This record gives sequence, structure tokens and C-alpha cells, in this order.
Amino acid sequence: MVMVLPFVLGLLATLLALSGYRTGAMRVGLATVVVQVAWLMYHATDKLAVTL
Amino acid sequence: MPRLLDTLALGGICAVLLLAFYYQFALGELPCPLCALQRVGFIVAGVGLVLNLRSGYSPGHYGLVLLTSVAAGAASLRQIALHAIPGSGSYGSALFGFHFYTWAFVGYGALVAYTGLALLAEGNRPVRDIVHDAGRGHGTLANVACWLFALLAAANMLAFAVECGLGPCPDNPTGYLWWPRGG
Repeated sequence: MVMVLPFVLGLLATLLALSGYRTGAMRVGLATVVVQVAWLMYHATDKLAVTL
Repeated sequence: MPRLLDTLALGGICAVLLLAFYYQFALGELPCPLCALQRVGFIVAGVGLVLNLRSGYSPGHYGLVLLTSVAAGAASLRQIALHAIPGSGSYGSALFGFHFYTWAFVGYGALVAYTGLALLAEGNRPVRDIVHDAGRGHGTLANVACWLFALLAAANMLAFAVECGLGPCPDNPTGYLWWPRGG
């Protein structure tokens, strides 16, 4: 798991958005969210000591 | 008016990222993996707002803001739950009585509420006005906010590369992997 990956993708999406590449920025932005959720599953799925 | 509100929202995200950097570098509080995922949320939300400011309004841009706000809000809620039990400690400093993961959750709630209101407002505008807005110049304030945001996104990428290298961050980081302290 590469923690810096969503930051690399986020920066790429930002630069694409700034340059006016709307479709590219949206695709990379969505890819960033996918990685964000995958990393969240990795870090936040062990059992909690609380009753939810 | 929506452009001004998007600019202000982007400025708010920049302020959050700057504050996180202040606590990281001036006060020496290293971000944990869940903190990193919360920062990613603010960065992707900012991308949606930059798209509105640079390419014109689209509900899809707000969709990106919503999706990442829900994902990052889940990360902050998880961190709140980790420290909800009395005696389970906390992570980092508190600001005005709340820790940053709690403030992040409030921030994502605010972003979701803002996005809902913006979609309602834009949904009631005639399409010709929205198209007209998209063709307008970027404006100095919007440009400053966009470039400051890009600078902060790049700085975050560098900061996490230096802290974690090309692997996972430890749950309780104590130093920078690529910036070892001299002994």
C-alpha cells in the first residue's frame, strides 16, 4: 500500500483541472476516490472496541 | 455569485490544508494514515471546485466533491470512534476543544451541505446563465485560490512522500522516513 499514491493522483487531477482538461481531471479525481476508499478499507476495517 | 462561493469554499479548503501544515511542521505533529486520507478528501473536493472555476459549472464536479466528502468523512468518523471511549486517548492537539479529526468531520459535513445548496441554486438557474458564467474570465481571486490550492496539493504529495516513502505510513509515525534526524 503506497500512502503517497492518492496524493500523486490528487495533484495530477488538480493540474489537469487547472489546465482545462475537464474529462481527464474528472477521471483521475474519481480514481483518487477509489484509491482513497481502498486505503480506508486497509486502515479502518479492524474491529473497534465500541458498540455501534 | 456561485463562482464567488466556489472561490470562497476553495479558499476554506486551502486554509484547512495550511493549518494542517502549520501543526505538522511548526508544532511537529506528524499525520497518521487516517489523517492522510482526510487530507486527500480535502484535495479531491478542491479539484471539484477548481473544475467549476476553470471549466464552468457542472453537477458532475459537485458529485466528485460529494463522493470524496463521504469517503473522507468515514475516515474521520472512524478516527473519532477510535478515541470515543473515555481513557482511549486522542491523536494530536485539540483546537477550540476538538481534535482535528472531529473538525475534519465537521468540515466534510459543511462541504456536503454547501454542495447540496449549490446544486439547488444552480438547478434553478436558466441554462443560458450557467453557460454564460462558464465563458467568463477566471478572475483574480479565483486564480489565486486555484494556484494556491495546486501548490498545497503538491506540497502534500511531497510531505507524505518524505514521511512514508513509497510504502504505508505507520499508525503512530515518529519521524520522516526520507528525512532522518541527525544524531
